[in-house]
Amino acid sequence: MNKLLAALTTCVGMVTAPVAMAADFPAKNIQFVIPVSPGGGFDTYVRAVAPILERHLPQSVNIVPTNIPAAGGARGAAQVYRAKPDGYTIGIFNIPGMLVPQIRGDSDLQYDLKKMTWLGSFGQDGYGVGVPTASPYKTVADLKALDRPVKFTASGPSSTAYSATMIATDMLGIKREIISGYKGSNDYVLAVIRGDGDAVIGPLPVMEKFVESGELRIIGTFEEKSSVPGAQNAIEMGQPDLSKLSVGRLVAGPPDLPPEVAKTLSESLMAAMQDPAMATWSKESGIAVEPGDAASAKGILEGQFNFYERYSKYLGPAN
Amino acid sequence: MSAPRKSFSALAENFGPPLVFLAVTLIFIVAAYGYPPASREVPLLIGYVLIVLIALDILSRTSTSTGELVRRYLNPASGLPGVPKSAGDEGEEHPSGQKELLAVGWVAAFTAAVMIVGILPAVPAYVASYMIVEGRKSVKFSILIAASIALFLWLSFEMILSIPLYRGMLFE
Amino acid sequence: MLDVALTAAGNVFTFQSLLFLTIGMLIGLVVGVVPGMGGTTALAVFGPMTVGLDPYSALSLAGGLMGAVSFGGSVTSILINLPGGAPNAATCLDGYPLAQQGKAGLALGASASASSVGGVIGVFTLLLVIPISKKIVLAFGPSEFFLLATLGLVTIAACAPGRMLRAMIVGGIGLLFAFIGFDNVNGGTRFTFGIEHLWEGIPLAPAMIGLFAFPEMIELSAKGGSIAKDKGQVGLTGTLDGVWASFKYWKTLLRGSLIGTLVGAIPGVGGTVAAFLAYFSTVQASKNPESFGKGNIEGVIAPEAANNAKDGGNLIPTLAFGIPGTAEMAVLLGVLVLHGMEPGPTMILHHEAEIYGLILTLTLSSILASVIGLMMVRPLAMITRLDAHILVPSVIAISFVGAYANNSLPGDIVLAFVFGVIGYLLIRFDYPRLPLVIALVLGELAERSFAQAMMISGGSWSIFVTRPISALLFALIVMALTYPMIRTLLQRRHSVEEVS
Repeated sequence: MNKLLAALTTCVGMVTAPVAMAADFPAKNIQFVIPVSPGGGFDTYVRAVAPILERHLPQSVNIVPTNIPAAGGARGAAQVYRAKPDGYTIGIFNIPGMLVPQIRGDSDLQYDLKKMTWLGSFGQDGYGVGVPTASPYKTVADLKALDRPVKFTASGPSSTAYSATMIATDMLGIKREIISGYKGSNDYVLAVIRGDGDAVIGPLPVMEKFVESGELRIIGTFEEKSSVPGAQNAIEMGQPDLSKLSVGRLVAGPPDLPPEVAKTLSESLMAAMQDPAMATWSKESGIAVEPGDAASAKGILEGQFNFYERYSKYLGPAN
Repeated sequence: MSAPRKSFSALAENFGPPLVFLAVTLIFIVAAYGYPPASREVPLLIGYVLIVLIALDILSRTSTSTGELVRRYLNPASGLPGVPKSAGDEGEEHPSGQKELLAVGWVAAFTAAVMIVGILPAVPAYVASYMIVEGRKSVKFSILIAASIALFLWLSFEMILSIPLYRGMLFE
Repeated sequence: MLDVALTAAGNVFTFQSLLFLTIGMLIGLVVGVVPGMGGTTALAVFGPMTVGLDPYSALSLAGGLMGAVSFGGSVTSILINLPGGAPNAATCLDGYPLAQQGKAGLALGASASASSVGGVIGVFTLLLVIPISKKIVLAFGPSEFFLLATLGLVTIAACAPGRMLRAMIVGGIGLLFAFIGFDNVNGGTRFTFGIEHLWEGIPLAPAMIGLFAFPEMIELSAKGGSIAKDKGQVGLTGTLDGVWASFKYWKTLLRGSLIGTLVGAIPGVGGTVAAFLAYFSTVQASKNPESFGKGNIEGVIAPEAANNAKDGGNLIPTLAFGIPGTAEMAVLLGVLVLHGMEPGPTMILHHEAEIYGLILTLTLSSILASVIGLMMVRPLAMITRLDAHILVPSVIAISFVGAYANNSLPGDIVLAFVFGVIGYLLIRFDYPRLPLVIALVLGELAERSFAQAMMISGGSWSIFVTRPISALLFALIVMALTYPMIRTLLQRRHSVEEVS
């Protein structure tokens, strides 16, 4: 409860604080925008790193995680994009989740990822192919050899899971039928276990939970070096480009952030991610953190842009 | 209401509601034809069923014998206008139209104020002015209540839950 | 298991844990009462503050909070027809008429006992079914979801006795409204009419706030006076009668609790559906379905029991697969993660004592919240005697801000207003508004699951009868459809005989 009091007092203080100069950044609380509802991976990450990040900033201020859901995250992203470039508003971004609408050309999209100031990366989750444990299919080649369309479960056609399924099945030459409309990764992986479909293409950490409970078998991972024993990797499947399919958690601020402010934020973020406390959290919770600096975040973004621009025909109808 | 010449307002009161429903349904049906077949299937099904149901409703509001039949089997609790209703669960005596409009107007004004100047100024302004103008409460008391509600909202949402309250179109 | 349970109890019944349980419960009561502040948001904010505490204190805070939210939400549903959260909407249906009759104490008493007993039943059911939890979660697929939603939708006709035709019309319009927004199965958006705000569909919380609270406030504003029509003995008596009512109608209580647990166990269906299904099954089973909506105490007991029982049910998919069944559970998992508990199927093996501790705090909290609530019944019930000119602006202001806060979208305030006007016009022109609510809650689920079931079966309708649970639900739907008609016919014959 002390923290609550501290938060209250600093918040009150913040109202009266003068506009900060770059040199004494940060001089007030920093809003960390989470463009999705509470619960779920992105929310957990920010709420876990926030207290650690506070310790690594040059001045002691609070990091205030703020959920701004709606419009598939576009609203939260727009909020960060339009924020004053002073470093007091940053956000976490799902790449390619937020990037696909931009390539697809959704109307009224009020952000441009290419112009934002990228600060760091919490890492990327790879994708893979899974089948129910009892399934007769042992490899991706088995799916390819079927003379009927393979039923895949996925979320709606505008989602990245759907595009990933389209792109991957095309690359691998699998005839597909997609049962769509599930409400998220847990939901469509559970659906395939239930027998709604034959196989599923989804993020590896989500699928690994079901592997652990004995319901799912991962028969291929879209990584250059497979992290799952017995599962083929992207190169073995003959499609190294599959490794571009991933879910990245990147941190950015508004465009034209002053370089010193961006440097402070980026370095503190890196230090926080490398903090032993974060490592302990990661180990105990089983949620991986691969710290990446500003340059690597920018690199991931550009790589993803190139990849999805090439496959833009699979990105579903523009909204 | 068995009088041969019904006033226009009575007619509107009787047939207005189903006609509004019909208009809404038609808008949805027309819009549905703009979507791919898979997307419009279910909405169209519902839309066409609705048209039949609304036609029955209109029929049940006429004084014809068919109307009487529909009413008896599908809507026994509602009578023709003017005929006293059976004690409906929600249909009690209604206040006069002018008072209703005024009451809705206050909320409309509040909604507009929130959208323009934001929540924190709009809430106390609305609460206090409503209490003073409508309720004839003392100015001091009204401001006290208005201020405490605004303070409560600010403390709980903005401070404790860190949900920023809307600042209004003028200040966004 | 017993020794683990004892360890858990030993850890929960410490001064510190009980202190945090009480703090969590008080927070839960407050966020439950204020619309737009759900348990999810509160848990997301307060959960991380428990870093540094021992896991039991954190779980006590979380369990205390979750166990109390639902009762808190029922308080405003009963007193001012304003659901604290969407799952509380079903409680308005009979709770508010009771408050209007000056029986707020009775309704609050029943809500308190029903929610605590419901919570306990939910947890006990959870403990019983842990061994078969995976089977339960996997038994419900799209065809079952569709039939479950249909079961709710067919009660539309039954929920307005004497006004079936109009109920079906309003329900149909509600279904069309439910199709607004993203088409989750086929992609693209529908019926948004160029309004970007409608892409996500009609959000439930603002629509409920508009449909339930607004019309009452307009009427109160135009008429003056206060909510309770008889100013005599408002809420000062009857509380204990209310508490006992839950036990008197034990079948209703049990049915509501079991429905709540079961629906809670199915990921992606949610508490609102649970509460409404519990309500309608009670109406269907009752000998006097006409008395519902006019202040039948059973109409408060069933949804409140379901509402609290679902917390136990929600834990079933979480413990079976480590996946959250609801957003609230997702945040709770986040709190567990902060304390180094890896959510997943092995969580129950590695952290057995903590899990039982959580279950225990959930139970304690739902009981304690009711006890605290009962102590406050007297002052709370006074709200129904408050002058309309103070109550109306306060309720409108707080509930509209609540409508906004749910998703931080200013457009939701406009939506609450629009739905308020719709709700008011419906009542004014003698159409029931409830079918609109049910259709909004169930429409999307029904359409999506139907499309998915068709894709799974390759277009064959047999999927709805060949799976055992589907067949059972199908039979229930046929029963629900034919039963009221048969009953009406029988009654008609009786009355014709009497007349002749």
